[in-house]
Amino acid sequence: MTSSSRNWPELLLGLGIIALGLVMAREAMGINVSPIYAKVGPAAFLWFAAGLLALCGALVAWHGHASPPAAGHELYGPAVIMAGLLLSVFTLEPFGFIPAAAVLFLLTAHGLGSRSWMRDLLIGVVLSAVAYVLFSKGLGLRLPAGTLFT
Amino acid sequence: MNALEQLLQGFAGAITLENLGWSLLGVTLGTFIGILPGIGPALTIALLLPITGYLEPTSAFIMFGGLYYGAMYGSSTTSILLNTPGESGSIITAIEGNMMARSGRGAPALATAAIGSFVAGTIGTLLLTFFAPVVVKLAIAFGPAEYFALMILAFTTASAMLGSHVYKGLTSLALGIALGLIGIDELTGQVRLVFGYAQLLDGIDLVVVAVGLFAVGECLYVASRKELREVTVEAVGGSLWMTREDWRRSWKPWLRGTALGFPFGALPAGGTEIPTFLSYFFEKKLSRRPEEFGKGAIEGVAGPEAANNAAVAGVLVPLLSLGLPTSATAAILLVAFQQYGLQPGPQLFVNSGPLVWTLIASLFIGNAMLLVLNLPLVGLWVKLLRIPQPLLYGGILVFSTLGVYSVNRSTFDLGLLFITGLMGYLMRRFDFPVAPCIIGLILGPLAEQNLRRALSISQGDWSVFITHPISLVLLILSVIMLLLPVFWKPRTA
Repeated sequence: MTSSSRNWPELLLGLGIIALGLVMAREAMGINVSPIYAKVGPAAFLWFAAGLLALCGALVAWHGHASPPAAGHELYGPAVIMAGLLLSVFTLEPFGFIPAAAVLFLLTAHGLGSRSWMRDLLIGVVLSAVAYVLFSKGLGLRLPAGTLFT
Repeated sequence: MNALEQLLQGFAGAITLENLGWSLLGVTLGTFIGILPGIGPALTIALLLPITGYLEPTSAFIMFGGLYYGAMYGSSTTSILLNTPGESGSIITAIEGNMMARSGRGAPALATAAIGSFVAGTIGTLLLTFFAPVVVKLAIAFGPAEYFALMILAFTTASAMLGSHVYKGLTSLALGIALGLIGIDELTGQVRLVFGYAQLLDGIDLVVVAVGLFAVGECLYVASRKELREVTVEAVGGSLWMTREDWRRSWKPWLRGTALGFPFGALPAGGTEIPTFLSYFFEKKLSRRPEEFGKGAIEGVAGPEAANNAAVAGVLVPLLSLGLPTSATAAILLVAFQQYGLQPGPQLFVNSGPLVWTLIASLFIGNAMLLVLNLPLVGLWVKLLRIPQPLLYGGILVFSTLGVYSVNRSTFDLGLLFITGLMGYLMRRFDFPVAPCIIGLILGPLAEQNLRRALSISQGDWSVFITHPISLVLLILSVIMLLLPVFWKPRTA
């Protein structure tokens, strides 16, 4: 079997799952189990999940190793949307809900193939403002108004 | 008092202006989210959890029940008129119903789906009425060992029956169990998988995981697949009044679909997808015109649509009588019960009888509302399908962010949303089922609790799981479930 006939993303994913299992096993090893709980202590389920992840990760990796590459997936769209989400983590509190959510709306629409920037921005601002008023005034959820300008 | 009397009392409780209002709100919202691709009942109920903290439990559950039923109705509309299913239970409808719509028979397809859903929902709810008390009687004999074995069965069936490979289902389950372990262990006070973040001490909120896996994951996946974005909405062709021939060809598939759907939902056997596939398979076998299947056979819409609604009613049996969720939505409903300090199971029927029976009665009422809401008003709902996808998903992410942030008023949760969203995307990209992850997240801690209780009662003797007959049977079933797909796989395509 040549390397070009491997499904590299799936192989890497399998290795990633094994790595997660190892992280959990390391956590389980760091727990001092008091002898009272020696039967099923706090580490038992960690070990179980760690073992299951490592085993399944190995199967995923093997499947990826032995199968042809899958059809292509675009990465630009998801990357733009993920950038939008990450941005919202840092902008929501300083800038407030309305601008942060409007930008998230704009980037999500762009990631899904929309190229009408002005329309999307307008809809994003209106939608975020309506949601803000509805939920903060109507239902009493406290949403950030933004601390940067006050 | 027998089930019928209690049900009548439930109707007395459900037919108040307020409760009818909650039911109407639930079924309308359910139809709405069922029609919109990308969001489903599990996600919506999760997002509503923080808001419903202010509501009376009865009102909240009437709304959630209506929402769960409504989503199944709505998703059939999407499946028939758009070539993508609104929910996973409507995958088959998306094949056969869309074919009918393309050949100008969209209206009869919608009608047979809606009436079939009504028939199945009504019979299913009736079965729920009489079966749930029976299961409750059995469940009184259950101790921690039996509950632990039952949860193992739920884990293995969810992992084995959903998705393409058992190991993929198990990966999803293990990820869910791992997420459920994060935070302080209640029994020992041990901190697990926190990695120094104080925000993780209380564990990850279910809302964050559900929104990440369902809404964000789906959005990223659609963005990565161009062909998923190019969809055409078929016109509602034909008459909504089915012809005599349509009725004649539909009524048996409705009943057979119900007979398949209810037990699959009620047994911990993987929710709504499998019975729809089986129903389609049976209708094709039984049809005198099998050549029509794949080109728009009405039986292929009637059967599966009845099956998925009956399965939804079936799922409520183990949820209410045992506290055992067998689908992602049921798992989130379990959390909703816990939020009110209610523990589904035999105690729920004893301590909160009126709530349970009012809920069941309102499911009958909601089901009737849905028929009205979906048949004459279908033209209104179809307009929703014309919302351009970029705007639809933009809106979904705005409301997701709002919902996740408002749980703890913390941007840390938004960071977690980013991570779980990426997880949801990868799971779709590599064809891992999402539901086992949600079930693992919610049942994992409960399984751990019951395992510890069982072992402390038996003073550390592991043999309790084998010497208790019910537990033994459940564990044997679990092993069979895991091995079954290796030897036998229902051909679905």
